[in-house]
Amino acid sequence: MASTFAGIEIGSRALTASQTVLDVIGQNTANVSTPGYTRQIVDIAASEPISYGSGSIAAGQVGTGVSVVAINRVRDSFVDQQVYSANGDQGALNKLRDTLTEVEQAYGEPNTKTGVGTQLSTFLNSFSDLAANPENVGIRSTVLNNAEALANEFRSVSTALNQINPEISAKVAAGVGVVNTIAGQIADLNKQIGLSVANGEHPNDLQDRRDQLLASLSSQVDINVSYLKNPQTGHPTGEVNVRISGFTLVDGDSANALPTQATPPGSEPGLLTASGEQITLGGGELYGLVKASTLVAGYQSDLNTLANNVITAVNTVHAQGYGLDGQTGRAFFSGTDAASIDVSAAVKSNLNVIAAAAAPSVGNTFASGNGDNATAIARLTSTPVIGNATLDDYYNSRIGIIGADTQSYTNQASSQEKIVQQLQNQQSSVSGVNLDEELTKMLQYQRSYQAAARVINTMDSVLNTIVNGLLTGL
Amino acid sequence: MRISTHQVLDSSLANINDAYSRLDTAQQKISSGTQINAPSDNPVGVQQVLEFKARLAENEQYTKTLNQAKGILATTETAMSSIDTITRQVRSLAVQAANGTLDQNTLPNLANQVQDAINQVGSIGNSTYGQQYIFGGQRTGTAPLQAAGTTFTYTGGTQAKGNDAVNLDIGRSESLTVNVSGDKVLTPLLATLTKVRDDVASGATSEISITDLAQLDVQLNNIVNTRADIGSKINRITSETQRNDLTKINYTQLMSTIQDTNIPQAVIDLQSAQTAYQAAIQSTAKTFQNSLLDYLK
Repeated sequence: MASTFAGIEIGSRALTASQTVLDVIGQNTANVSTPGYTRQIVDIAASEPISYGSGSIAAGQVGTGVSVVAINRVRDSFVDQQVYSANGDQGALNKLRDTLTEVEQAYGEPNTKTGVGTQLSTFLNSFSDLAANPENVGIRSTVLNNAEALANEFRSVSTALNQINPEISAKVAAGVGVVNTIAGQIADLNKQIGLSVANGEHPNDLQDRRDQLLASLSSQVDINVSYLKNPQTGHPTGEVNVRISGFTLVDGDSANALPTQATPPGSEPGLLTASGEQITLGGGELYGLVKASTLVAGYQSDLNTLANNVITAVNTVHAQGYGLDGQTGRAFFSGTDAASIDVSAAVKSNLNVIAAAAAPSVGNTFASGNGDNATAIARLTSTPVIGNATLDDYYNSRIGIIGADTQSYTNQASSQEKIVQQLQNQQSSVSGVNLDEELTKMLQYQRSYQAAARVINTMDSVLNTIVNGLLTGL
Repeated sequence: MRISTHQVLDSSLANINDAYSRLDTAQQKISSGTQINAPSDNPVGVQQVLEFKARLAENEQYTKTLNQAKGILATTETAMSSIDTITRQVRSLAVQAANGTLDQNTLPNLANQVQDAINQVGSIGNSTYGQQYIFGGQRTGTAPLQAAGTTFTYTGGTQAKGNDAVNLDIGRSESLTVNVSGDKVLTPLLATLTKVRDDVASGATSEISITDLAQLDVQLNNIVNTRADIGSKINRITSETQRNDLTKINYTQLMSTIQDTNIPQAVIDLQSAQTAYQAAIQSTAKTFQNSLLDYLK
């Protein structure tokens, strides 16, 4: 048997429920543009009914109105995981693309007028001029100038490339700093969320913040997020663990610091702990940076190979020839690689040292007008020096390789961008606020509220009949 | 599918960005005039462009060398032509001297004329192209003919010493000897002329008519052959230069095909990018004009 005032109670519960829904709609609407906000829905259900009558005359149950069960976030954690992984790939590809673009700029090809390739042909070709005018001081000094320009260009590209890896190390350290800060924040949130969940609450906004931190973390490193469960009850504790391959970054309430030391170029991209253990990276900006440093080291070594071959090839031929002073056996270039290449001090101080003349036949003195050795140096333009490749073939193919690598990472980065966009769309489709939807619900619950008020009003007039009418009738 | 308000904004923004970046790329290609502005724009093309650049530089170098070779040979030809004339004059002097009926007083006069010829050959033999003595073989820095009394000694490079030939590369593995060495032409000629002078002076008519005239013919023959050789080399240089010029045009065109923007194509791309961009911003503006809010009172 229901109490006299049950009707009013039903109305009041309906008012509260509608009010709550309208509040949540207000919250959703207010956060329509908030990054990382997950829309919330109010889970409402008819409240526990009471039995009407009893035993053989039981007529059934009568409802007691409506009640709010929970306010939940609408989120698909499967898509979240996909977003994390896609973010990681995107971060890695972006860093690879950016670094390789820097490498391209170091060379300045193909529009530069002073690239290594151009300087190399200018330099070798000037020996043809020297062959035709072996005694001409003007042409000797042109040869020297061209040689210095070539050496300068080698050194300046080398300097530009050499700056990249230290920059990368600094970026890795900064990135690790960001990761560790975020990990600390996630551990803090884990604690608050854990407490709140233990109290039976739904800490939606804290979870939103944590999800957002996980998303930024995922562009830095490849993370593996697992949601913890209470071992006794099997219910989620609300906390998450974050792992990077074998390394546990966030372990419930505590965070472990990631080391800043990157693995050396050439090895598997990762980070090294103080004790020398390797944490392998598989994605994220950190992975991209460490991987890029390996690529850059490769390009550096290619440039050094070229410089070294230029030095050796020119010196070998040059040493066989005779300078205007009648001396032989001298080197034209000094140095061993792109950073150290320079015109030898002897040539710099005396143009006559440049050996344009070939060795004289046995028993004869050399002839100053002989330009055959200069011709031999000029012929390096078309002589295979590095394997089957001429010096400029080798250079051109290295530029081609850098171009192909850069192009590949640029293309991958932009298609990855589409993938991330697609996944974010999917996420937004589930979790994002739709204003029209909220407004429609608002109309609906506005009406519910009005109806509930009407019910109370009606109940009031019914009670009025009982309380006042019956008394007056006495 | 459920669409959130934010999602519409996000994808509109992404589409606008896409369209804008296409517009930027198309614009860049037109304004820079090149479609390869970095190796990654076309990794294969960039290698070809660099290859053509190197070939063009090489080609330019060969053209320079060809011009120099032509200059040396043309100067040599002018000198040889004078020497030819002088030698023929000496031959007619010798024919005159061989005629035994000559007045004895005429002979010294004839001998003097031969001496003049020797002096002229000596001076022509020291001709230069720029600062290089053209008849000195590889000894281009010093005058090859040194006056010694009434005759000249040749001090330039010789075949025997292996320093007579000036060889220049006029193409890939195409070497050309661009000089005429004095020891091949001047030394025997001067010897012959000196002997003719002495025989004329001493009135050895039979020696002149038997030996000297024959020797002069040998020298003339040598001169004619040398000149023919120079002529054919100049012809070869001319045709080589023409071929070089054609190659240059070819390479330049090929390089341009790869590197330069195809303007009509680029303009069409730009227009289509513009259309896409306009469509993106217009549709975005239209999408956000309507909301349920407009209809609620």
